[in-house]
Amino acid sequence: MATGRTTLNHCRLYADGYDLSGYARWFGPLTWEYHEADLTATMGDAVKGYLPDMPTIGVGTLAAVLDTTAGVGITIMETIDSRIVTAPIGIRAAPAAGDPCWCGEFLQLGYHGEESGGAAVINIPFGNWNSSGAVPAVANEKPWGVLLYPKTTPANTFDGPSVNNGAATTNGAVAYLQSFLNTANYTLTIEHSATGAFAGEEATLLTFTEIGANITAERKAVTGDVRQYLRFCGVKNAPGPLTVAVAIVRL
Amino acid sequence: MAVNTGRTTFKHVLFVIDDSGGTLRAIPINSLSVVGVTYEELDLTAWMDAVKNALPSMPDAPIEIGGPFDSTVVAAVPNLSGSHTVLSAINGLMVPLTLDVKFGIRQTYQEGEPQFGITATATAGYLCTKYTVDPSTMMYSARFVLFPGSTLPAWGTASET
Repeated sequence: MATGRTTLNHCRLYADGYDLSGYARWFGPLTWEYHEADLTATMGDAVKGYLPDMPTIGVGTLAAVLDTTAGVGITIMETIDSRIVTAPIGIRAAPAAGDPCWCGEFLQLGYHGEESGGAAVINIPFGNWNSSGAVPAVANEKPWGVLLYPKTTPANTFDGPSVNNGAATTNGAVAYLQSFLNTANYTLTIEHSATGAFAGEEATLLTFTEIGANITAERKAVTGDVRQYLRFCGVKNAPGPLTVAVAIVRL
Repeated sequence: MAVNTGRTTFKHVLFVIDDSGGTLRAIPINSLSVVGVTYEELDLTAWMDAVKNALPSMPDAPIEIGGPFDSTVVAAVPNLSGSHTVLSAINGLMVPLTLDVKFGIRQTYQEGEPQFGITATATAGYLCTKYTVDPSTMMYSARFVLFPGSTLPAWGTASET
């Protein structure tokens, strides 16, 4: 995993189990802005003071080229829906485990065909968080996490790379699974470890519900302790291919 | 190096902010709003006055920055830490932060050269209220405002701590 600066060329955007990166021209802005509640006591304070109130978090607009390839083109977004979005930011290379990742469940507000310099393009505006999400509301306040498992097609039962998060937390986490292809039956889990050894001291942090659904996404929250090191694991229960990507936001 | 006096350029400006653990970090910027305290002007003019007049009312000192998205791990000042590494962990935190804008005079900032900021206490300092990234340019924008009841940030010639 590299660190430092990067370009849009190395970003990806996944929504509900679809990799839209091959059609996307740009997306964003990735807004995370708090309303500033003015709490100035004018008769007593030396300077104006504020506290962050409710944040606005949004994935902005996805701008893509129109591609009608059956089942894989941007046309799969024609149906307006709430979308579980994962946007890993690769650092001067394809996204790798540990890279920054923007995550959330946002309302898709449209599917607009437009002309741009002679090209037929599609603009997909997204709105705010989907308020019907089942996870605790506090989990909606933080959109930035890390990519735990880059988009991969494992051959069999697998243990993903260990990602060091710098420290443990007691605030819980929200994990995002993008399942691009899953005709097999996998048990998919995230394990956490205090040492990173994963030599028996690790424990299961969460188990995804989706084990055999093709082209889907899942958002799963856990509360309490999350140890410093995390990895994504899969146990193959039945034959068939699997292609997934997983990100996690520690709260 | 000895303290320089005279004019300078933004190449020598360093933006320093506490990370989520309370350690000062310098992050890359390529835009910076007005730095300083601005007072509201309260117009107290009466019809029969000879000229419009006013008094300074409440001051404010918000600061907005922008710069390249950068995931570099944190490093000791004056080395640059990653903007994303620092800002993604402090946006929305209710803990006052030390903020220091250091104006190096034709060189890397030296103690004795001008700076603007505030050293955080439990009741004074800045809060980060915005961290937005535009992937099309891979630039971020961020905003800082003062904690309620905070003391005034000020110009000085010694780094905030």
